[in-house]
Amino acid sequence: MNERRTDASGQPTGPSWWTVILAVLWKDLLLESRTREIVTPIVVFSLLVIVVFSFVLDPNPRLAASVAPGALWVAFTFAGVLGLNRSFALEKERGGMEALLLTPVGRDLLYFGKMLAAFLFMLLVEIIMLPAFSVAFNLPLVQPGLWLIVALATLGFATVGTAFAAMTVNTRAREILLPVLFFPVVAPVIIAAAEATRAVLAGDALVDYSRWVQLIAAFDVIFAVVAAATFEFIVTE
Amino acid sequence: MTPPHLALSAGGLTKRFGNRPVLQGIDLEMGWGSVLTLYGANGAGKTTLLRTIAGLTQQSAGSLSVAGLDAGQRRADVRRLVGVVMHETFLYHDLTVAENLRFYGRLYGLGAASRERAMETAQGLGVGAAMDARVRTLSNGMQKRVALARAVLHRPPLLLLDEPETGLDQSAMAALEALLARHRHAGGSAVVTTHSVELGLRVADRAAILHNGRIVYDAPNAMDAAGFRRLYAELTGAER
Repeated sequence: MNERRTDASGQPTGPSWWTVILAVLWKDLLLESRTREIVTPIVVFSLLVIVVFSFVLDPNPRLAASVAPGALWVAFTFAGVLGLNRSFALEKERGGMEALLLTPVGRDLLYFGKMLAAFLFMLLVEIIMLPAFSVAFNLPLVQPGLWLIVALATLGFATVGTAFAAMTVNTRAREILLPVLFFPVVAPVIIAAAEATRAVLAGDALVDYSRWVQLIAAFDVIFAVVAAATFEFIVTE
Repeated sequence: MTPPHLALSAGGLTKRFGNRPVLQGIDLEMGWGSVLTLYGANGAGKTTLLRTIAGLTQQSAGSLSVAGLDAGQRRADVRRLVGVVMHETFLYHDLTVAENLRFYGRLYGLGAASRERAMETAQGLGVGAAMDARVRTLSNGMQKRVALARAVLHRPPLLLLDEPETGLDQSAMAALEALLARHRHAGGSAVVTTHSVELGLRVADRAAILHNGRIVYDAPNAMDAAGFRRLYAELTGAER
């Protein structure tokens, strides 16, 4: 990651890495707080998924417990794709992506700023949706073990999703192309998250599903490193 | 401090989109304290040339350096030296003018000075009173002024302006011309694409004509508007 740049006399000539990441994050959060063009649609979408699942599934508690993890992560995954698509589409519509690329900051820092914003947007949606899922499926979804899984899986989702959204934003069929490219790559995170969620709902201890948590954490690190290292090639014309 | 060497140097600069050549062997050198106006019909390659110099797109062949820095090897350093205005304003419409300028100020490393610099730059372009207004509430002309403020916020020695006069009223045009005069007086350089011969003659000391991706004319400004139009028509086959 870029350190603060210095000129020949050792004087700083550029922003520190954390200044850039926080500036991009602040900009995205401020824009979303004013427009609500990302969070609101994906909350509504997730609610619709809950409603559909709660109507079509048998209310039997055992069946609900076995189906709920899948339903939960299907909702989060599709909602997340919508959010990622929208985030970069808005950036492109406003010419913002090119403006960011004109600045002298490292592309890896731009990536981390955008990725953190995507992570926080999705986490916010999940904080709203988990209690709603809990009520709809009559399951104890609001518990610490599950929050850990949600946070780690969402981080993995955001790390790889941000890179793929940047890659597909300039294509005409980006709404289709993003999930087609993205889902196969992020599938291990989603599968591990669903399995770990199932274990939490079954009342297992952390030690019993820690391998899934470790798998998600490992993917998070790998995705973050690879995506940051390749972001320059992804966004350069 | 004026950076060393030439402001801009391009040799055999070529850009192709697929098999279609857009820039074909551009040779261009500019010293400091110079404003070059680049004329050409739509599709001649003016915007692509500016985008290539700005680092938004990479050349297919040839060399390019800004202030003596190789644009391919020292991309971040070159971007710090360049201020760009394109057709898009590069502004976030739901942020205020101040928020937009402070955001870009942070990315250009202005740090604590970014607030003060933003105000000073905005006032210089006549948008100081609109600092707390959201960009979407401003007229096109005012947005263009803010876009200019964004481009010069970090005091770049080389300005790249793509048809900056579009959408500007007379007062904004005067602000643009004053900005270019100050910039040039301070030793900075600029490449300005335009369709307005009058604007070019007022702000620039040199003119170039781009036709089908090639520079077919490049000389100091030494003729009146009518003479230049005749020359342009002869070289490009355009109607007078």
